[in-house]
Amino acid sequence: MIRMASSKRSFHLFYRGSIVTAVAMAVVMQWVIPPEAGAWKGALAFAVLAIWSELTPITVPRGLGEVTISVPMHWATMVLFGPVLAMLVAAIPLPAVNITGWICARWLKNHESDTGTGRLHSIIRTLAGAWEERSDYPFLWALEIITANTALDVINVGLAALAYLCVGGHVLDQRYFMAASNCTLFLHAALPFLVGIITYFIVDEARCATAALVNEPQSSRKGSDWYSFVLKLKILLLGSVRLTWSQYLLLPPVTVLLIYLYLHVGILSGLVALGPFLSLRLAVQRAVEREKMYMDTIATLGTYMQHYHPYTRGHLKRVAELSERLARELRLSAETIMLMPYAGLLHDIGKVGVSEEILDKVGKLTDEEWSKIKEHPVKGAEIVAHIDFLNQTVNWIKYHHKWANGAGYPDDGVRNGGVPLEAAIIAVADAFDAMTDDREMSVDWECDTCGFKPENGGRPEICPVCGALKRRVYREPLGIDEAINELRRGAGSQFSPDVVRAFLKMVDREGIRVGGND
Amino acid sequence: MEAMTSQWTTPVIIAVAVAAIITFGSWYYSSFYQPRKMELAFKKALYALAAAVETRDSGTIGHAKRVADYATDVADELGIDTDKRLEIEYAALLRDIGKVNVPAMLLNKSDPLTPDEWEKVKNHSTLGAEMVHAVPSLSFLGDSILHHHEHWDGTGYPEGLSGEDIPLASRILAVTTDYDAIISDRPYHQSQPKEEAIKQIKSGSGNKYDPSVVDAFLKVLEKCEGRCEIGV
Repeated sequence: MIRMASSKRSFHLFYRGSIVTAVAMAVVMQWVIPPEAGAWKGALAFAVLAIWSELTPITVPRGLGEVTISVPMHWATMVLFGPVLAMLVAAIPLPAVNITGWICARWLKNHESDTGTGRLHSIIRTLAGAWEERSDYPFLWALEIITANTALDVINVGLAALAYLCVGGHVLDQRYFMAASNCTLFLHAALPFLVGIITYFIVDEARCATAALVNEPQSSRKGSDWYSFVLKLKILLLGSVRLTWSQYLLLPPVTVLLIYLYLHVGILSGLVALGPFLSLRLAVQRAVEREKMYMDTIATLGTYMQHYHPYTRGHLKRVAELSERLARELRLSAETIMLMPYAGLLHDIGKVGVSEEILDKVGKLTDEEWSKIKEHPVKGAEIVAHIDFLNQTVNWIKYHHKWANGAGYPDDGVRNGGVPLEAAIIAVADAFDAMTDDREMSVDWECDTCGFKPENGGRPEICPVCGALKRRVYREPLGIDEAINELRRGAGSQFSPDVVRAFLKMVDREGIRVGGND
Repeated sequence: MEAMTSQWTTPVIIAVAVAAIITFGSWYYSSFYQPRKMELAFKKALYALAAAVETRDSGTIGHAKRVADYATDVADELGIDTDKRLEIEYAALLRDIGKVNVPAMLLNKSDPLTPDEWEKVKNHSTLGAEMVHAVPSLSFLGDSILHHHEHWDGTGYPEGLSGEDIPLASRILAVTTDYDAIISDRPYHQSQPKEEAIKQIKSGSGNKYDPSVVDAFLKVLEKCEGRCEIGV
């Protein structure tokens, strides 16, 4: 599924081109190989099943995308109804799901006040989810993405069906199926079916890789010559094949079952083929839930471990929220958006190993003390490296004090390009919240050596009871505008210009809240 | 003949397809849902957090891991069921997590602590218990962590519980922690040989430690030979 969008020419070229191709293919096919007269009823049933399957996708964790039964549906229609109807069936589910999603999302917006928890409400919310994923885009843009994705599906099925017919495949209807001998079936259905699947696989992979390539941010596509294009395509292709090949082992038997049952029993039999998908959905759901429980546990515990500093309490949570919003604004992958809050909560976990005398020291730090503080991102990264669930966030945490111009720490020679965008996001969120945080002013002053609390709410630098030196300097928080100006001033030197730009855009549109409870 | 053929082919093909679907389906299922693997990753993550606390406290690197190993061995020796065993292991890893709240200066002090300072260090078991209590999925560890410095005769802290009132996990932790501390270097003492440690544990049996746990622990030490002597 293609998610990201940019205003680039190649992007529009690719999408609009695929829409035109799909329509042209359908017209030519209708003219050359028209479907049989009565076949549309069966195709309609498949279309209904396809809509259902598209409404309940299985989201596979770790960025493996979504599994629906649309692929075996495509294959079955290719064998049973011929190219034209197969293409039509493939064209139906995506728009249908998005239209229902859009309607449901609007309904939810209009009925925001009644927070129903009923079954109907939850169904509507699920349906609206299909649209909400795209609702950040401008409407026409979303429309183009949906149409283009549909067109790509249609082309995919069309080419596979064409391949099926070209190698001698025969459109299977009940009469032909019953009369044909095993040998005929093998030569005119089974073998061509295999060829069709392989074609489908190749076209699908090529299309995913091309889409990913077109969606690459411009900056990372430095060499635009033909050779590097092919090289990149190859890398993407191999990566994609590694993720999807196992699906292609599971799906053909499902399809064969679907076709057989359809020819023998009729339309309702399609439901039987759903069994394995239901069990797969269950497995994935359980895995995701369990993994989330573990991740939440680790992150919560890690957060509490940093709470000995009252100052960090609300701060960590706000950094987590802000980082997630920025990742969304920058249209990073769903997985990144999912991991961002965890990284935000744990970005300073390395400070657990730095003693508080250094962290809270008022005066100038000695070189040694300063080097201790500078170690905290690396220490944090080392801790997170042991947390398999959060493997990807290691470098985000390691470089969250690295400046866009290469300054900052850790000073390990990594320059601009080596610092992940996610680290730059955390840096901006961290800095903005630190600048605007009024937490330290709102927490009542208390001597942590003897527990003395002044009656008048003062903030002495030396405890009047036990004489301990209070190390933290209290400063007035900056206002939102001032803090934003600071970010703007730092863009390009301290902060990544891309992230600051996204930040400004987001604040312009949605506003921003500072401070708050933990 | 032709009709006969198609009569048996259909069921056979359907059966093959169903079998294939079930095979691949279950393979798929197990490749996505691996509770064992996830649990191991979770344990590793808890260990990483425990190790993060240990960096505050020089000389205790790897302490939590070793204590967890001893404690699970003792649990096996005592024939404790799997759930309880897991609780003991997690409690061993997170036992000292409250030390994030204790000033590092005190943890590393080689001179004797003043009574005030000692109170603060002792507070770590309460703080640790509060911390895990705040995490819903770990709150079951609260009691074991709170009482891991209680003594069998009631002279420990924070609540002065005695005998069987102390949770079993805490009683096991008391023995294993002390053993590992004795054979390790600390700011306030030099490491001592295994024999000396065993002697001290034995002399504590019945007053400081639960005698049955001490017995089980000694058996574990006899069995585990080489690996128990590592403890720098």
